[in-house]
Amino acid sequence: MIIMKILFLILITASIFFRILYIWDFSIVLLVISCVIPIFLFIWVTYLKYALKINFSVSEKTAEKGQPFTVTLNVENKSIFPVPKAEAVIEYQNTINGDINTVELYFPIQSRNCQKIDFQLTSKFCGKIKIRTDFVMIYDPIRLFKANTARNIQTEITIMPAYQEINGYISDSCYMDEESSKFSQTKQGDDPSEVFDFHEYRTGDKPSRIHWKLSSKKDEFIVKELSMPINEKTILFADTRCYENSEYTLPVFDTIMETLMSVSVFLLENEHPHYIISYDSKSGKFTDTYIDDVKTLCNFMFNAVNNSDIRYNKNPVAEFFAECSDISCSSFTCISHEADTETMMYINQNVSSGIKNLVYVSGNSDEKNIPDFEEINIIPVTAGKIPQSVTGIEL
Amino acid sequence: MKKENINLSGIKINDSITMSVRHKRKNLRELESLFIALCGYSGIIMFFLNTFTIPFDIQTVLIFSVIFALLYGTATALRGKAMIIFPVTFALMGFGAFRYYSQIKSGFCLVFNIMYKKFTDTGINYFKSVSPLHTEHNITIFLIFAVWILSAVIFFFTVYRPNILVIVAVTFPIIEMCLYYGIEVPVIWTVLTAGYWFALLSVCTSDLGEYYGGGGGFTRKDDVFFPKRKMKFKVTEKCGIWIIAVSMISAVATNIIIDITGYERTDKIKQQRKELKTAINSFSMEDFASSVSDITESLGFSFEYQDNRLGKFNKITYKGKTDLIITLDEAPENGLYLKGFTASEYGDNEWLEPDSEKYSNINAMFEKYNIYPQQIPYMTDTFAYEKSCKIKISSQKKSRKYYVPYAVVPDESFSFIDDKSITRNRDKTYSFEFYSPDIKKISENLNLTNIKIDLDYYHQFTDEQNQTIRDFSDTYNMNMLLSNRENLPVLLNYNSMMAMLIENQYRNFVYENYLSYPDNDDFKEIYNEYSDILENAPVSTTYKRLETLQKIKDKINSEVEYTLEPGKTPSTRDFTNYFLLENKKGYCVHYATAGVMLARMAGIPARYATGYVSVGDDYNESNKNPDGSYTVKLPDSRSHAWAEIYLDGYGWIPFEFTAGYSSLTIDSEHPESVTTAVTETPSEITATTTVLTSSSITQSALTKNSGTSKTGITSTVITSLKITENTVSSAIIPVPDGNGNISDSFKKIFAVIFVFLLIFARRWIIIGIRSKRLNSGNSGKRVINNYRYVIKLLKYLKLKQDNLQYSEFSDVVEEKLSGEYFKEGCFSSFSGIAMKSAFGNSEPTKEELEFLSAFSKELAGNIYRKSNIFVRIYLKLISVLI
Repeated sequence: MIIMKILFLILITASIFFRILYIWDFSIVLLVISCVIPIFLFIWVTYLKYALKINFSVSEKTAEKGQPFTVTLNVENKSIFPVPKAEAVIEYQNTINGDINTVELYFPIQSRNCQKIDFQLTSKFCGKIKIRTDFVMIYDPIRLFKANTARNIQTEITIMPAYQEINGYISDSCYMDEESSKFSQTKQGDDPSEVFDFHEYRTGDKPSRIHWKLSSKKDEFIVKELSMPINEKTILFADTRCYENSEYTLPVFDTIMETLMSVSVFLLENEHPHYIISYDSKSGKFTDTYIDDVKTLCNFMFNAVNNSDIRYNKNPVAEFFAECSDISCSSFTCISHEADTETMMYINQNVSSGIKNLVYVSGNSDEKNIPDFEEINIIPVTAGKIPQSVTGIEL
Repeated sequence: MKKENINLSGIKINDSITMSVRHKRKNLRELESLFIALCGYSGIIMFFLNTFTIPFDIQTVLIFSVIFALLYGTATALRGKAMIIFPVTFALMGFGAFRYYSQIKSGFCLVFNIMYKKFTDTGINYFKSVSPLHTEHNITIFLIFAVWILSAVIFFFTVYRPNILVIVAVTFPIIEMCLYYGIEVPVIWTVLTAGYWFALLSVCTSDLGEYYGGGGGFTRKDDVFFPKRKMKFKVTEKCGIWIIAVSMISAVATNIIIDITGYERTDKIKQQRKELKTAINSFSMEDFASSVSDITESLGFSFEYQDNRLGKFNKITYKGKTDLIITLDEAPENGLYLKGFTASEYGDNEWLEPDSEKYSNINAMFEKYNIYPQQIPYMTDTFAYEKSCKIKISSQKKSRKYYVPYAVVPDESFSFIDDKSITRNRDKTYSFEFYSPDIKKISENLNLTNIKIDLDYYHQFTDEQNQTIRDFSDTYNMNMLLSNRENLPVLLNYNSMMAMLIENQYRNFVYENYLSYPDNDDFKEIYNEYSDILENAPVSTTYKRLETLQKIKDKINSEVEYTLEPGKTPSTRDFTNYFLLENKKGYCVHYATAGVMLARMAGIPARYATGYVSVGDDYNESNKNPDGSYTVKLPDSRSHAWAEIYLDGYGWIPFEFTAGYSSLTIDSEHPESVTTAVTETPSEITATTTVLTSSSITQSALTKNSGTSKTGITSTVITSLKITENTVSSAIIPVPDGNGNISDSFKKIFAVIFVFLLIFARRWIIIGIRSKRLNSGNSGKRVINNYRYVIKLLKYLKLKQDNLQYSEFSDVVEEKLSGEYFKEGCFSSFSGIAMKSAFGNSEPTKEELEFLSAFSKELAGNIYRKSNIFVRIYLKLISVLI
């Protein structure tokens, strides 16, 4: 660009000399053209700067991990001037670790037209992906002038964590809760307040269970199967703190969210509604969300991914139990990157439960120094290896 | 192949980027490109045919032009196999050229003769032995071949492989020659051609660095996506057409406006043209600054160049331009010196203003009492002043320098700077009141005597004034003693008293600072040559001082010749010594410098001054205004240099050493001719003058004047030539009007531009070849080429392999450069891969090739980064290493 400017300055200077030395009309015409062209190109670029409308769009607000998602750069040019080459510098980052990557895109812009430039991104980890333009630079045809436009136009997409099949088991003693008003849809029990199913009388069935009304209609004895009230006081505690500015930040965060997702899905598959407690950086408070179906879980995960704060500088377990101590539940599982004594003490002292788990997520398998704690099951999980690590978890 | 771009964020961007538009339009890129090519093709052909009147069969040439345009246009638009048309037609036309060689040659000579006649505006043929038979036929054949070459080049390098350099190289020379020789060209066709160049420039600039191959869509290089050249959405050619359109519209509009308004070149531009031609013709690299100053001044803006260097110019030339217009209420009795510059330090063949530190104390005194040396003469209200004169000076120069007459009366509009100059608001027209010093009267009456200041006795001053005088005396240890002029009753006038007190102190300063001259062999030689005057020179009284100065002047004038073309002073020689003892030729600058130096050697404080001088002949009836005042135009030929000498008790006065001038009287114009040596007698001087004639200078009769003053000082005035206004000095070769010849200087400029183009073209070729060798082709060869390139880079860093083993060399390189130019171990790895490839059986893997390429780039990049700007230029343009 600077070369072009110098060339044109030389041309104008030469035209001035020429105008004086050359006596015919061509000299004045040349001088006029030498001056008009840069002025025209300047107007070209300046007008386009305001005539262009550029924005991003994404087809969905969420995408799956590892699956490509399309981001569209929309460019609308209402003017009659085309742009032979525009330069867009696009930054994209996962807001969890904040590592910014840049891509440069050169493209032409037609006059009086709308263009869409589709490019696909794939994210290996879950998180909130922010895509923004650093700038879009437009040039005139001879590259004398340039103008910056479309600064800081952005869009976002949330990459949802996937879930893994885990072979955990739910303790029977913790499964059933006579006080509960929720009943299993798959297992029968002894709670007479809810009928699970009916079957024809078989030897051994208790006469007290015969449904006399139905039996009278059917000319045979119909026996009631009673329901089993299920325990819903299972708590999962998600501590989304993890490494800052490290190559393990995203893998660990991703593993934490996936572990949470996987355990939660496992519970739901086993008809075990539960609570998830986590710190919401947007509201600045701990929230406990009742998860009883996949939709609720997905909504929770969406908010958790978007509002997680890996840099929360306090111990969330300590902070949480400072607000509400003495929790009673059937099982308490904390998923965290930290496995220090303080955390475990808080869990031990403040949670009344038969089952206390601490799922410790680390960046690599070499990390050790996990203190032992008698009443807490410590389950180490290496980033990216959830099924192998979480197998056999008791909930 | 898909590329991964995994990074810490785990996000990768896929290779495939697609672009779509809402309003689908036909892809007219090829047609637009053809249109641009046609513009250039028709523009250059019509330019040529409209500029020169050439006899040929227009119909045949036109038909062939169209055929070639269609042929090559179609081939380049269709591309691919259609390009076979080029080699086929080349072969056919080559055969045709062989077959019709003599007609083509004859046609070329005939056409060139026509062009030559038009360029030189003569009837002379350049090729003299061309047969006039079959002129039209031969010219037609030649033009067909010329059009064929033109069409092939234009269509190929516009449509198929846009390249602005080749097109300009082919089409620019003919236009340039027409402009160079100043012949009239058809405006519209020329503008069409120029618009074509701009359009092609925009096409090349937009597509710079893009990939030719493949279809449409985007291509990726690392994290950068480029559109491929064939992408149908590109608007490159459309932008080119815009450029052509704007150029043509501007040209047509300008032409219409010129026709409607009947615009003609103004006299000012004609005058500027004349001055610019003169400035260009006299351009010299040796006097670069002055030449540039002349050129810029001829363009209308002043690049004021105060050149105090001595002996740097071969000659002095004058443009005859009016620099100052002065209006005086009456004609001065004595010569009028208008001083613009004063210098006192002489060294390295240059006059310099003294260091401001030297002035700090004396300036403090001036400021405290608000009396400056420039005021002393009129404040002391002596015999010299009977009547003041008013002058209005209107500067025609762009600079805001002030030219001040001697013995100026200060007013509120200006203030003094040191003991030399004034400052005021930046008007171009300003006025002064001044008392023109009469040196004769001064020299008659300027005798000094010491007096005792007895304030108690006279009671003339107030108590405050008395105190001021006492304080001054105490401060400067004067013991109330004052060196005063004999007839100056300072004890009666406070202002006169203070002026003389200041003068007394200033006098000390003058003797400390204005007597110095270089203490070297050159000046010893000068002293020896003038020892008869300088040794024990009588300078104690004003009369004796002036007498000594006159003797010096007479001796100078007898020894040297006045000329405006004295030649340069060799850089190893002292200016004054060379002028007085060897060259013995010079003009006012030489005389003034020599005079100042000799005066100082005699013990007379002196300094150098420049400005303008007005002579007695200026004040005549033709310059007289109705109110009795005189308005005189001082041209550049009145710029002058003279000496100032210090008279104790008075101040500075101008003294003229230059032949033809006198400090008493200036009533002639300084000669523009060479004067021969003058032999002098103590009381009279005779001189003979020879004159060089010139067509631009009119000559009047020589007159010689000599007279003797009452004090015994002889003055000599030589009247030589009367120079008419706006006359160019004889040193300039006249250039005829109406012919647009451009001087050799433009040839030099073009040559420089051509050299630069060559340098860039060479770099482009070398980089292209290197890139191809390093990044494509057989992998084994790529390794070797990479290794060789790195060796070259190491050689630049003064690391040569010489007789070392490869591993030893690798160790040496690692030891000296690792950490600074590349990471530790990288060169060893690099060397290892190269050895393995060269001497092993295995082919290098893709990762290894990438490593090699990355290493060489890193090394080259670090070398570049660690270099300063000059080395970078060398690396990029001269050695093309990077």
